[in-house]
Amino acid sequence: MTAGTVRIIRLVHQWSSLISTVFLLLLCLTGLPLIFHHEIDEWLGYAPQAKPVLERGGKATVNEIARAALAHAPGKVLQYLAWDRDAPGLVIAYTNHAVDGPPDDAVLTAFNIADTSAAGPVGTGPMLILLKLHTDMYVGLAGKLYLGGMGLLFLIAIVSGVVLYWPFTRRLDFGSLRRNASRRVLWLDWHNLIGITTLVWAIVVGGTGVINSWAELMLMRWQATELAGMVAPYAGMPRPSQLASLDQVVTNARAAAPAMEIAFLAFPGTPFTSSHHFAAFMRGDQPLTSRLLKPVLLDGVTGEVTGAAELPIYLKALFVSQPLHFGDYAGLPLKIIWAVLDLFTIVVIGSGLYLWIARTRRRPQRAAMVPGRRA
Amino acid sequence: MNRPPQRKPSVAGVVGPPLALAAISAIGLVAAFALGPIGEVLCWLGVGAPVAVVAWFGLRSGGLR
Repeated sequence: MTAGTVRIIRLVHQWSSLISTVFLLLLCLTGLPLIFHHEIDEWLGYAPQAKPVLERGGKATVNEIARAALAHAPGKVLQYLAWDRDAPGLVIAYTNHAVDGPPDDAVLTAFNIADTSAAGPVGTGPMLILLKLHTDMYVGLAGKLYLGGMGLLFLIAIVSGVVLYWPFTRRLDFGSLRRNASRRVLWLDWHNLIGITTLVWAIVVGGTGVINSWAELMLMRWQATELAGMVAPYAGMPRPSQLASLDQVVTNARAAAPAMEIAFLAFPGTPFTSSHHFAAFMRGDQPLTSRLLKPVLLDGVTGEVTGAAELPIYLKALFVSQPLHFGDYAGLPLKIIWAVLDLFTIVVIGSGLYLWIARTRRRPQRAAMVPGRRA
Repeated sequence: MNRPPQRKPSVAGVVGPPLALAAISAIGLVAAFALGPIGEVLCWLGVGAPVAVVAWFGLRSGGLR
């Protein structure tokens, strides 16, 4: 690699990092507690607790849960019902002022399957504030896309950093930390060591973060293409005035997707379905298949299945990217490792900033010491 | 480390460990999806390997100071 090439790549590494530094620090700092959001919500009392379902007492039907949710939110309509794999005793109801109301206006409430009583709000408290800062900085889609852009710069910084690794470390054994050199050199060694060892994790978390920032765009594309194709025969039909029995809808959806369980049910008119259909999103029971949802469309009036399809590859990528971003797919030990790697990333970003400042300060001094020589 | 100052490390010595760590991390990241409970343990080991390596070199050279 020529000196000129190294200089260009160094500039790419330097400026892609510097431009995104503040936002990457924001993402790392807000992402750290979000890794443990389930645990923190429980500690702070923001996680609804399910009542035990007694074997002889039976479970509430889906219709009963829906009625309880509407009674709990007078004047609102149901957008979705969701079944959390980690909380089998609860159903989460999304109510909003309209079926196509914006996600930020939705109110999420958990209801007990045991007796339809409200178990409490979902997704509130300090973790919601951190999540909003982490995903869109409270400015909606524009914020998501902007942070996605910062994620792309992060990926460019990682790749250019990898290219620079060889020219900068070829005279050193792997893992060298030069204690006897200057502070700047020692921090360069830490920067290189942590950066290169956490390379794959950083690419995966950065890449999945970028994919997640495009979630709304992906959903819009799916609605305009695959979903539009599935519901084309029903184009122009109004939203049903009388909806089918939700229990019948869920039963039919399960029959259409054997060996799968329902993850969430979208009501007619919501962004996840047509104005005339329910959409049941089914999940498998394996670690991977539980992430890959399969939509089943059901007639809003009769509850009959009208179509089922695999999700397109970009939505599968989106669903798989979510656990890979938050590290919540292999228990508490992985969360702790994820948190340490997050802290390592903060060290890499901070040391990179320090190295740039130190180099900028050093440059005039060296230029003064060696006239005519480039610093 | 105690190496003679004039010895130059081999290419494999410089880029081999990062490549091995990259492969171990990648396997760890997907193991939990593909291999169930055993995969979870592999996931902890694979994703945790960079943490262990950084800790090893950091402690060996006297910590973060």
